[in-house]
Amino acid sequence: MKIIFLGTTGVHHSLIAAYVYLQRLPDRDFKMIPGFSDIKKDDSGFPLFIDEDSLGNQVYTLGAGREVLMAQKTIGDLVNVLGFSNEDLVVKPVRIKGEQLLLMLEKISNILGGESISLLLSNYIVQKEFHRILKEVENFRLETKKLHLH
Amino acid sequence: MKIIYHCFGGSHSSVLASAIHLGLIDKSRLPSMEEMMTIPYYDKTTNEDFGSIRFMGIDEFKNEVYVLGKKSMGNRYSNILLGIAEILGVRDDLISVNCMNQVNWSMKIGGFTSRRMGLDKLARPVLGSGSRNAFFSLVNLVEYTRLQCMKKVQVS
Repeated sequence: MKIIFLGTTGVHHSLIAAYVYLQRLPDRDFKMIPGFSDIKKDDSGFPLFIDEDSLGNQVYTLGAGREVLMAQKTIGDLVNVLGFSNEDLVVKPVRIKGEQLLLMLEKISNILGGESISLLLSNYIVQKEFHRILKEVENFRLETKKLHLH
Repeated sequence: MKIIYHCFGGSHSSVLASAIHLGLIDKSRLPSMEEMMTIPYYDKTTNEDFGSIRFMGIDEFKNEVYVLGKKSMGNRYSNILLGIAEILGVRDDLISVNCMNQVNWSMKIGGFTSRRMGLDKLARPVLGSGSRNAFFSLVNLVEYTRLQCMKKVQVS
């Protein structure tokens, strides 16, 4: 199964959610996490492979811009159109306060530079919302457990 | 193969392109507004339809044709669609076609007035004129897409 953590960007809160899910978060200083706030990685819009979980599921992050829920709906439809189901690919939207600001920071530093300031601000925003990310991932674990039980 | 035509609302340019692709409308002459209004989904979508992939039909080569409204997400949305297909291992089964480059101001103003403001009677003459002006550009886009399809089938 593929698991996609979907956020406004694929390199901030969705990335941290993926690391929490994989139980590989080394530190609360997210600046040290490979790929955190790496706007070049997020530029294309392609899903970013993070790692495999203990069950062999492949974990990805994806940045959908301003329209996270619309992208979730589209991906759900696309999975069906391509002949797959939610047992093949699951999308978990990760919503936090300041998610639009993270997107804006990404766009600004893409145009004007200032990546280190963007990194510091992003780190601050995601740290402040870390409790929400933990809760989202916990809910997701429960949902997927139910899915496997049925 | 699956072909997804997408534009802002999934209501005008993408629907017209898919209708041309499927032969629902004659591509050799400009269509009238009445003809365009007979196309499924043309100027009939609501806000609920944003993000939904809607089936339009199957072409003569058994390709499935769909339309999608993706708001102002640009080419990034194509990459999202192709990226998902890629991780599912079916990248070559999908063609994603962004119709926004063919959309002119009359279509934008007419589409906004009709779908967002709900003033469809007022908007349709503007929309019709815009759609007619964009028609042959959309025909070119569809022809290019059909060639892409044929190439992909030949390669595989």
